[in-house]
Amino acid sequence: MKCLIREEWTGTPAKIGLLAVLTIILAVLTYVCLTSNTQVLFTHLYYIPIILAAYWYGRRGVLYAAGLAVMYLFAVFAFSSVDTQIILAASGRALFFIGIALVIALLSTAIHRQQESVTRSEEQFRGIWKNIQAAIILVDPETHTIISANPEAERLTGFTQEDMTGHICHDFICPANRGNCPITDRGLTVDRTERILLAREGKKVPALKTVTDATLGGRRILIESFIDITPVKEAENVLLAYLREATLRTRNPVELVRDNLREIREGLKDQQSTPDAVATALAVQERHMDDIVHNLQELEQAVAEKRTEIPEALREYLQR
Amino acid sequence: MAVFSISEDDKRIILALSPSRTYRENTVRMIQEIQRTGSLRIIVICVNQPAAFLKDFYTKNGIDTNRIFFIDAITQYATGTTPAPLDNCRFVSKPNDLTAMGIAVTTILKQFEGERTVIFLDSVNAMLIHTSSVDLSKFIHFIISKLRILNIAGILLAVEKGLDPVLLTQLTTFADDLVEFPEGNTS
Repeated sequence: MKCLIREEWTGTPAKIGLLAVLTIILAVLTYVCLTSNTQVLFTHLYYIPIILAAYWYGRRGVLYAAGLAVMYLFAVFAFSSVDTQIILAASGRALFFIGIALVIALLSTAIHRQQESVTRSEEQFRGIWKNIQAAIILVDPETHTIISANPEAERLTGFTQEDMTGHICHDFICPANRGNCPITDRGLTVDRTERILLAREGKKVPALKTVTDATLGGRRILIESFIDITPVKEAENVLLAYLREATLRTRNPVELVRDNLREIREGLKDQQSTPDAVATALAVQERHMDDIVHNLQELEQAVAEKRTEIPEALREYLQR
Repeated sequence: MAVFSISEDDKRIILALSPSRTYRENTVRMIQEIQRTGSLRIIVICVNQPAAFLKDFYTKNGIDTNRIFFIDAITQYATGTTPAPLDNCRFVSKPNDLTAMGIAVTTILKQFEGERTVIFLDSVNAMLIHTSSVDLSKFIHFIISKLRILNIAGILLAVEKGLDPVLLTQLTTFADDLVEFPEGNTS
């Protein structure tokens, strides 16, 4: 119905206007036909406003149909010869008007409910599709072409949906080579697996990837979802850098001092070094140890300042 | 990996990795190998052990310390006083004062201009006690650039397994050659 009527004409005033015009035309037509003693045929035109009113307004449309029936009956009484057969036929037609209106109103209510349900479901889907914090890309498993991508996928890859749609996923968003697809070629399950998502300008985005084989609208598709784990990876790298620096500046130097002390001890045993040289060498090792302790404190403080989940008491202890 | 050898005209930057147990013995072997060339002067940047101690140690191991110049970055820092002057030695106040160390290296190289020289950094690991790995990388890059400009050979000493792969990769990239001494062998 919406397709048949132009968008600007589907508003309530336009509908009421159309029904009013049709009612006037019917009134005039009824008068002309009844006064010229024509009882049938023109009454079929009543179905047009009745069906429209019942479809558009449901129960109120039935009331409109009842009004038309009353108008028709009144016209029959007023403008045609009073005949029992004519009265009975007119009453039957009037009842039929109301019956048709009732059936159309019931069907219309059912259709509207279904439409509302479909619209609500579509709105929910659109809302999730647009706002979910996971990139979703739909892929045709036969051709490996991208069917659709949500805005988060656009944000993560830097490509627009238009860029992606129709493109083969290999070497575009997926680093796997053609013929080596983990899902369709190797039969693997990808469920929250750490993978790389290729983005614009060769950027590689670490992501948790899940692929679900699904059927949508009778068509088999792969639903690929990606959760960006760049912040997790960055945090991991920071932790690794911290551990690396901690090892470089504390553990390894302690081993070095241990070896130096052994060297000094051997120097003393073999009387290689003068007492002054040994004293200086020991002072150097003592200073090394002081600096190693200082390094350790610096690293502890760095942890305490950066990690908010550390309890206050422990933070104070680490920053002492 | 290469066997350590050096010639008079050598201009390579060598990263020498030694096991900690044989570190000093391998250092002595390298210096002896350098002195075998006859004309090369050695400049040792000491950060790990004081120059006086190293001088005694080298002398006892038959090394001619007259052809070795020390840049001692640790003694003054450790003792807190200005050390007694030592022949062929220049003291730097702190091992983490990389600018002062850079100036000292430049000055000494100028002093021995015209002579064939080898710079010996003892050791990368000890420098990490006093300097962050980032600053150390910058300093080593500076020293290597300086050596390359002046066509001077350099040896960066480090204890094997005492450096993490990231720093080791950086140093290997800076260096021309990598010499790895095997465990338990000082030859």
